[in-house]
Amino acid sequence: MRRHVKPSVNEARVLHSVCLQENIYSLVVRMKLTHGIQSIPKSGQFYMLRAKPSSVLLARPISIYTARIVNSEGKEKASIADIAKGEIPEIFEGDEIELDFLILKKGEGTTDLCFLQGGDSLDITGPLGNNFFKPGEMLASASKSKTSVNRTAKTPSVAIVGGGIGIAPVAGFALGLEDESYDFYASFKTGTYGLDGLKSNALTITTDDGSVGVKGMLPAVLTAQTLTEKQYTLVYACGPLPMLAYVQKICLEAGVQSWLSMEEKMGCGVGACLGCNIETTEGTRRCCKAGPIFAGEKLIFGGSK
Amino acid sequence: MTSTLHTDIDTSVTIAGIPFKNPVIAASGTFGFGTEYEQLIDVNALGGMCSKGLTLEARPGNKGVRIHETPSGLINSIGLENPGIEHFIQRELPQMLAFKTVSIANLSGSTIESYVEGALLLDQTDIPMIELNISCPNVKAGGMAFGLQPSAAAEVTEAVRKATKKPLMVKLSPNAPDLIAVAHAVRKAGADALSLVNTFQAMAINVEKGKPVFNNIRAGLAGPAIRPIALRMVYDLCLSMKELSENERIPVIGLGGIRTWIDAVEFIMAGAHAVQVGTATFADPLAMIKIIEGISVFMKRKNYKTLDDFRGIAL
Repeated sequence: MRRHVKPSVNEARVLHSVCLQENIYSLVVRMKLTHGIQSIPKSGQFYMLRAKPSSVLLARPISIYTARIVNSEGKEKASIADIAKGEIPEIFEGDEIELDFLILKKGEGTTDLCFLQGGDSLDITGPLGNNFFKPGEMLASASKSKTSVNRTAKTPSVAIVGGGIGIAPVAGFALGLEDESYDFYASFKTGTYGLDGLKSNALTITTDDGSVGVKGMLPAVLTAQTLTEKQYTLVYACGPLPMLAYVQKICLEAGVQSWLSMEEKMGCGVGACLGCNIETTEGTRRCCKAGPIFAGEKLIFGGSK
Repeated sequence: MTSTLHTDIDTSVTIAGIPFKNPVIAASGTFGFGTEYEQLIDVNALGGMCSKGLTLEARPGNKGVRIHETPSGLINSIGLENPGIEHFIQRELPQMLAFKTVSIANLSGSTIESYVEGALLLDQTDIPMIELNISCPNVKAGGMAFGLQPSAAAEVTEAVRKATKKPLMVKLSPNAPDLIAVAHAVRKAGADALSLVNTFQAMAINVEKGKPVFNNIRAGLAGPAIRPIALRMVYDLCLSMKELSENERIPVIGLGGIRTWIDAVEFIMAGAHAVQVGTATFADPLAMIKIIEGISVFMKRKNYKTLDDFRGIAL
């Protein structure tokens, strides 16, 4: 059943911001459920966040990692992973939503967000944008190419790929899938983060410095040949643009459907400013409104940005 | 939410015969066609809203970086991306008109002929007002080129004036060497109202690449950073209006970096009939709603019954 999501403008309370490694922070905030169950985000969506006070004018688009409904005493009732699996709780007066974000400290806006402390507040608008569809939900539009492949074992047909801070939306999405129904590929500069609780069939990690897993970047562990050999029919990915361009390339080579979560500087996040438009085979599209998740084959990488 | 609280306060204003329930209008290019914000704010509470800049033919907009934030400002180079006027009339206009607020079509063009053709099409619709955009800095042909000199500005205004009976508000560029002269040339050419200012020409350089950030090099600066200069320009224009006989004057709609009710009241005290709010909506979708409420609270506190009680009192 499709659950409808409705965004709102809110002020959220900061529970804590924790530094996970250099420039990577976990920010947890809590706020009211303005539209009840409709205020609960879906994996892949994002919020516009701005610290209060902030040195910048505009909010910053940040994808959700995980989220949960808590009761008035702060006790967890259900996570969005539970909800994605069909466990939809009844919402009572006083229930709130607790949102987890992973944030890369990059410029002034994200620095203000990363340096928030428990008790601080922030302006938050969302959830915005489209979301990842689970493999079964997409049969109509996608995964048409290889559904008839004779699968040899009960290995998963889904590969999920996260690079750097892009781990957040895909790891959050993976938490809502059946255990061991996917293989997970994670690439970092050094160390890991955002992998807690993942129940992947196989977890393959690369780091630039070799501190964890395979030394190197994604191509060291995932190629068009790997996609074919492992009989994947569907790839979800989020990460830096060069990584997404690579995922698009190998998926096209192997004839595998891909869904890629794109990142772009945004002014409004709701489709009004036309600042985040990206090039697709169907013309320019608003990353915030048509995306952030696009069918891989429709994206045109290497644009002038 | 706003009007019920202060029933004895009248925030309405009539511009070129069109009644606005309050003086806060969403600025062109910052509010889509209204539908983009309807899930977040009560669009019906606004005084009015201007459509994204429209051209006769659909435009894909500019390539490359389109927005760049600066201290209290936002430089944009969108390049008038829009679906074209016919598409607008078919698809977006009915949605705009369904809101209980005054819809204004922002009309741009690359030649006088394309402005006129666009105006002729809009003239056949139910849109209550047209804002003539002679101030977009982000297109190669037309746009701001018409808004820099009094003669060119008057020529396009006169041509569009002949093409439509709709109330015509002309949006002026702060980049004109003599803005006041352009304003009065446009007024004499048949404008019913003036809105100012559009964005200031600006630029940014990517120091890692050693190249301008924007493909077009120059782009338009908006946001609170420009507000004091915009206010001075509105003030100067309203001062010059005061020297005219009353039947020669036309209303001025002030904009440029308005973010709070205080900013809006400043523009009205400088003589503006109404204000437009743009970039502030990106930063806070509720900005206009808060401004409308703030103006009412201020008027009650000051015992102002109507906007006329304080419009232009700083002149």
